[in-house]
Amino acid sequence: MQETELIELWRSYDRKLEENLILNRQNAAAITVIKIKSTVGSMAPMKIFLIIASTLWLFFLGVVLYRTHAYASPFFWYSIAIHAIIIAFVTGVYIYQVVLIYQTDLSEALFNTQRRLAQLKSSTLLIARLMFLHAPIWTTFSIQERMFENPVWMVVQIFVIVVFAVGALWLFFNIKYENRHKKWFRFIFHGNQWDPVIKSIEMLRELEQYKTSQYESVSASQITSDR
Amino acid sequence: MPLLRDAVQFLNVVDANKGIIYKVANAYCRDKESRKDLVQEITLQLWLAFPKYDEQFMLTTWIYRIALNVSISFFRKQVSRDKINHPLTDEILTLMADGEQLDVDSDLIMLHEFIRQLKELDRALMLLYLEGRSQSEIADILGITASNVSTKVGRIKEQLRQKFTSLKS
Repeated sequence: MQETELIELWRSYDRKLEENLILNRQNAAAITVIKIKSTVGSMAPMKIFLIIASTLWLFFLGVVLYRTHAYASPFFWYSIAIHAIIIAFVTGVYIYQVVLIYQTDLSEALFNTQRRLAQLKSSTLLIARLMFLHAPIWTTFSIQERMFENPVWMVVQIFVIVVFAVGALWLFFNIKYENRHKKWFRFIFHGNQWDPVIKSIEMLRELEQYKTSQYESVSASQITSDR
Repeated sequence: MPLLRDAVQFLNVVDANKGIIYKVANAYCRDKESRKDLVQEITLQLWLAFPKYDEQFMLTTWIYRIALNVSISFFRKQVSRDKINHPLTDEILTLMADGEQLDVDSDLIMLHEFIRQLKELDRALMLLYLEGRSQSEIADILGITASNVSTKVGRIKEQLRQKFTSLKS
């Protein structure tokens, strides 16, 4: 099919729509009087709540760490410190998400808005990775030095720590888009909550492809003009 | 129903550009019921953005941007509006003839099918191309360079040509 035929085909569709499409003004008018909020904006309150809650939690952890520094078990102190560092990173991601939410404008160019929305969604996966990463501390913070007096208990404790640490590190490095079709990935990340996250990463890839072809077309035009 | 002064102006804008809203919704949503919801969502977002409309942009550019952004982002997530706020109204755009009856031409059916098979961003690009928008306007709506538009459109057209040829042979 030639280009002109294609355009003419679309124009014929346009004409048919023109003749048949009617705006129900009453129904459309109803939209202008109902109290509504933007869908993107509606995501912000929950994120802000999480930022406030995690900041308060971090403050509490800071006080605990400061007060117990002199006498607490090093296992407890360092476990809580690692937990606090990771929660601080997670809070940082939530702040980044709120910034993206407030920057999102649907009347902006399609690629800018889609990039922001895709970054917003895909950063949720980073939060999941960070939460997995700090799983081992739940096996270490309650260790008492006297436990090491019992060799059996010590072996069991070390085994549990190693299993959690290896598992957490493995998940942290392997939770990525490339593994989305693997069974373990689908087992953890499935359902309505996670499907949009995976799709948003696909969208980021698609946007990247456009960027690459943009460079290709710019380079091609430069080569042509150089000649 | 009492209308705000801006509402009348807004309804006139929607009426004059209803074809754009319908075509974008139709490209991203085959199912009639879901398409109705998408048209509502687009109209709603247009209304929310209406007071901030910047007249330095063409009205159609502004409408395409919002319609495409809504179609790609919200509808992909299948977020139902009534979960966020409350149920909206009935059908905003009605076709006198059934949608399927409009596609009497088999080539047109194939074309719609082909467009729906494209990736979301490619679909937006092809839709704007078929709408007869200039390269610079497409670049403005999408936020890419005109040369990128040209390269991409060329590639998609070639795919389209091959599809039509293979289906017809």
